[in-house]
Amino acid sequence: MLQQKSILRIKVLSVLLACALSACTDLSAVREWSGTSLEATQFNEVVATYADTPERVAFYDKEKASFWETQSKERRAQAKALELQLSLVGDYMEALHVLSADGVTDYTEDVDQLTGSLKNTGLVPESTVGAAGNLATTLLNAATNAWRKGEVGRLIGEANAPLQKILAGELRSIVDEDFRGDLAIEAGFLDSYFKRLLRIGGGSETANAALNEWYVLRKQENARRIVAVDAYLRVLDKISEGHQKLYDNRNDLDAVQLVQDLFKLAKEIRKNVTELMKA
Amino acid sequence: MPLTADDARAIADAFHSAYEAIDRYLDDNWETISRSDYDTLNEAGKTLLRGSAAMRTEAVGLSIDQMADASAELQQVIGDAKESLARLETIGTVIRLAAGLVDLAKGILERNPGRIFNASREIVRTIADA
Repeated sequence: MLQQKSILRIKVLSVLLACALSACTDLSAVREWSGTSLEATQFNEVVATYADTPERVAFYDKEKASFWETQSKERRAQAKALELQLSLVGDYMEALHVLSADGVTDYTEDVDQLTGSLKNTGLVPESTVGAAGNLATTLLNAATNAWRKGEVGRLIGEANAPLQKILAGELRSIVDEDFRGDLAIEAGFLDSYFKRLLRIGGGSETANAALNEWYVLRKQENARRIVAVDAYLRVLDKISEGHQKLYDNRNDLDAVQLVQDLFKLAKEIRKNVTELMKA
Repeated sequence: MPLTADDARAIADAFHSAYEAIDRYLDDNWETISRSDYDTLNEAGKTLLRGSAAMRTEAVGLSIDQMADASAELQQVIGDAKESLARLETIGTVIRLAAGLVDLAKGILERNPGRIFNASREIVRTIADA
């Protein structure tokens, strides 16, 4: 009876201590959001589309092939730099994802040593050794969780300014203005080329119908690329918004409202990634 | 004064707007103007589009340059994060060295809640300082 009471006391104490030490930390929302953001940054087809525009347009502007070749070279180098930039954001999200994950450390060995020593004393009944092992595991997890929460908060604090400069600043301008503007230029070349051929006449009715069909098809492809730019921009905006929320709540990372917002943003990012894949 | 990314974008937009004006004119008048005039205007439109494309490339290049500082800063944070992760993986060793578990074991052996509490507090401190 006395032994049962002591086991119970140890168990109750372990739960109370664990909650006190870790403030019952739950970083699952941070983990979900950073994992989704990591996946989303890997859908960088819009960068490839931008780099390939000179090649696509050169077909409709054959007299200026060398101009488009120069543009193409320059853009390929830029695409590498942009992909590096996105992989940098991805690396950060990955670090945040890993650091906010439960069970990142395995204390089995440490706890086994503890319970082994207890057992070797021969003074403690088997059931109490088991309870002690559970207590040690709970405490180690609680202490690690508290430490993780502090580290995640510190990293978010340090990363927010440069991350926002990239996501909400330069990268956003590149995607929203330059990638979009670039596709408008491609559309212009399509219009110039196909309208001229259709207007100067000379072709048979069948040839003109086929030409018109190509024109429509190419314009549809161009429109789909614009849809991808829109979806990618929404992804960047949501990653930026999510990180700003994390930054604003970095001292209270399991606040109910933040958790709700992060799960919602993660869901929306997934939806945008699906749109990107369809475009 | 050197060109900024926003300057390059403004020029790209201006070229594109001029192209659109030509395109609208051709849409409205292609049936009445001569083939030679049509081609001259069409070629002018394409020149403006090329200018716009070159300015877009310029803007992207300048924006990439402007991101350099932020990228370096973010790289530093990622380095810190990786160090934290490495530290997290060695916490068990640190705890062993600090003999936190031994104290905890003693507290349990003695069935002494005060000692258990103190030992666990030490573990937390050890982890925080790791």
